[in-house]
Amino acid sequence: MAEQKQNKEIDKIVGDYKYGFKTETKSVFNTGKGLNEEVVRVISKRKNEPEWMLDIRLKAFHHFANQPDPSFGPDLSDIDYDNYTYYIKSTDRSENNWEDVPSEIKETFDKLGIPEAEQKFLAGVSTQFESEVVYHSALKELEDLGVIFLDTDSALKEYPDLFKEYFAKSVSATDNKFAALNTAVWSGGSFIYVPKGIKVEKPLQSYFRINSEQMGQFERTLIIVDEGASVHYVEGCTAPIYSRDSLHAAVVEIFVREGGYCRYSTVQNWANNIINLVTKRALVDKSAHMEWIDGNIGSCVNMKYPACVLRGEGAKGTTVSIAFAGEGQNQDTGAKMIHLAPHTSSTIISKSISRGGGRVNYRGLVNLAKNAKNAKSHVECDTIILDGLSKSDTIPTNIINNSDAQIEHEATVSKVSEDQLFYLMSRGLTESQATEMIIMGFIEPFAKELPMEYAVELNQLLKLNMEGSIG
Amino acid sequence: MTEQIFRNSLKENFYLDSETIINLRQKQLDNIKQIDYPKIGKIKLGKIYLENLNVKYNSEKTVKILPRNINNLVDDENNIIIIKDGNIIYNNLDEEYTGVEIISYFDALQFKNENALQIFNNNFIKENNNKLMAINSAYQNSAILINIPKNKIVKSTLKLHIIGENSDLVHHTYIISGQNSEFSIVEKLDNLKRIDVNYVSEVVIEENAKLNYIGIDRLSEKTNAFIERDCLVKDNGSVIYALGQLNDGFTVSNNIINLAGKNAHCESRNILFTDMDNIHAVTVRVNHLAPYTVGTIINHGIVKDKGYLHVDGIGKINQGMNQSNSQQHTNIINLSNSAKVYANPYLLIDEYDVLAGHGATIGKVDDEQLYYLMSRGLSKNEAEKLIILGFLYPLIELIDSESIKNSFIQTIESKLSI
Repeated sequence: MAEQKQNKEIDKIVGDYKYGFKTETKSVFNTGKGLNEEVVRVISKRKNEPEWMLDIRLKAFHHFANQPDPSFGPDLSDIDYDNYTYYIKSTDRSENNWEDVPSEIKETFDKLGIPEAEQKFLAGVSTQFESEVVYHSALKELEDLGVIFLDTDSALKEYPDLFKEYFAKSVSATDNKFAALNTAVWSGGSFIYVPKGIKVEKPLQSYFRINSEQMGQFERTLIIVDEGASVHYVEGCTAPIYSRDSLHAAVVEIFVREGGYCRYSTVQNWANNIINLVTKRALVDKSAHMEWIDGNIGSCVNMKYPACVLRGEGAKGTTVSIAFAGEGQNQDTGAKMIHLAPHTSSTIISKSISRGGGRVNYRGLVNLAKNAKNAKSHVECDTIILDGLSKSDTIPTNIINNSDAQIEHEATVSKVSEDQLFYLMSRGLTESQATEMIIMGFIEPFAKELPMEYAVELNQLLKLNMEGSIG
Repeated sequence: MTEQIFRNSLKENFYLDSETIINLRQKQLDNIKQIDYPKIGKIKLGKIYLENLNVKYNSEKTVKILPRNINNLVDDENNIIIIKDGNIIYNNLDEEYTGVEIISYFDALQFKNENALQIFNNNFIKENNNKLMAINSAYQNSAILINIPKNKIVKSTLKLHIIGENSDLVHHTYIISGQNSEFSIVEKLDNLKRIDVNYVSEVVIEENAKLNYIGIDRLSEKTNAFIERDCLVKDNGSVIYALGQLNDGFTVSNNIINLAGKNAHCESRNILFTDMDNIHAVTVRVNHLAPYTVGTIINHGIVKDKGYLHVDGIGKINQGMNQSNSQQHTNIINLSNSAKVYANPYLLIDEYDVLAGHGATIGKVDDEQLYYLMSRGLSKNEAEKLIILGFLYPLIELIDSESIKNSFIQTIESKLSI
């Protein structure tokens, strides 16, 4: 009991979201609360979109309206879709010069600690503020290579044919309820096209933020890696804290063409009042390789299952993920690997930690279809539960439809190893130092895949979250 | 409900029952409509008509010498009990069994054994949580009670043959292991004619008792079966719970072990064989309802032809059940390109001071093992056979009956046609 009490006290101090501040910004245009066909039409019109996009939006909207909540995972019946604003535009046009960015918005970024200096290191920064991209810069280097790195809205205007060829081809308008919602009202997000044979050495990076209270954010990311090309895209999320629930339903579509390589890294760190329902799917062609590096630390309800559809011979899919659930959080995450072609292989490594009454679930799917001869899949899920209030379920689905393929699945759930604790404490560490060290070691397979500054930030965040977990 | 059941009115079919029991059956019957099927993956049980039963009481006489068709199923061994269509027709128990109460529902009615009837009547009274269990309660036409008294230790294994022939079989087995008792039982389920089977067994392991319970299901083609085995283990109780599932027809098999007492221990070892165009849905669930409980699940499955095998292994540790250990191994060998295998090992953990783990593999016969054996001069067939028989070992080593063990191996061999 004493432990719990102490935990609670510490939670009071550190439990406040680190980035819980809010800047007053004046919206230039918004659609008001609620969602109906008219709102969808207004969004499309406002953006001057071609007819086909409006058609897709409407089709998706009707699917969304008729679709029940998913039969699995956290309870979403509390979401009141009429209580959100589906489109807000805070400045009228996209900026590509730092000097032109309004100072208020800059302030927010400064507090967040997106360093200006780092832009030189990072190949491009496109920062989403509310629904529209307000800051966007791509280094000349990228332009010279022929890489297209834009916000999704501009990409639709500037490369309509390319856009039409790929949009909603991986995650269709009617894929699932929240993908449909996103397709109906999407706004913002990143668009990346890497031409044949081009290898982008530096990671591309984008920061997303939600700012207005109770505003849903529905960004749409589309990445196309052409034959033999390679790219590493980094997405980071931080958001101010609000009193009411906020909804985030993103869609990420990735196409990795023959021999291509794509790595998509995320550290999702929404404030603890955000409901995060994300559909991420990559179509992977012959000999191509897709990697999802997926961290889930924030949000109150999180449903996210990055998927690889391995449709070309010898395609490879990897997912390395961590999930951390603290008080009041429900992290329902996992990975999907769908093998459609021979000699495909996939690996899923998932590490989960729960504490303070949090619930962390692994929900995964590995499906080896009939044609997936000699396909191999390896899944590892490990969970550490730090205290008696927290919970964890491991719910994998393994399906195999031919006799030449193989699935291996392993999972463990336990508390922090007492032997390890004892050893470290015998070396002079306190219990909390020792626990911290063990947890850091536990997530090492994930952290080492991140760019350095992200790994540092992740470690800081986890340490902050872990404080007071030992009584 | 289906026509057949309405046509056979309850009173006529279950003419041995008292008025009260008939009323209870009627009540269960009314319930059936309101309760759902158990949920197993994507299998739509409603389409299989597991409720389409033609049930009645059958009377059979006790025999000294078994008729030929039964003798084929049962080898000459000691300690055999055969219950056919609800009647115990044969038993040759040793003296060692004195004190162990083994009685069928019919005998209990006939000899007015109030204690036994009280236990049997539980089935008609209890609340059911799925449609198939409710059907069992409403239509039970065969039941047996094995009551092992306190401190009774029986060394030899009881072989219980449950056989259905003349109507669909709705059977209920009760096993009560009294405190400090030790007992082992091998149970085999057969049918002589094409019938449907709804089978439920309930096992209670009292404090400190030990039980080995091995169930072999060998139902023939086109026999739809629902088989539920529930087990409750109290303080320091220990159970080895094994299942050999070799049915040739559609089968739903639910196996639930509740570790309800401190230090309760269970080991569930299951061999599943699915071939032809069969659908087998198997659930093995261990609920840790007390601290210091240990549960192990081993599922070995072989899938052939157009078989469809769905295995859910579930380890559930409730909050506060500290120092519990839940382990699971599911290994499936898939021999066919037209087969479908779902293997889902779930861990549902609400407590932190525990150990839980599962491993699952699905694949073909291991290439390296094959290569090794073939390099020693075995043909590919022989090598495969050896590997698969080794794969069955976790169950075979438990079967303490030469005849059942041999018939088990023979069945597998003939199914593999090796």
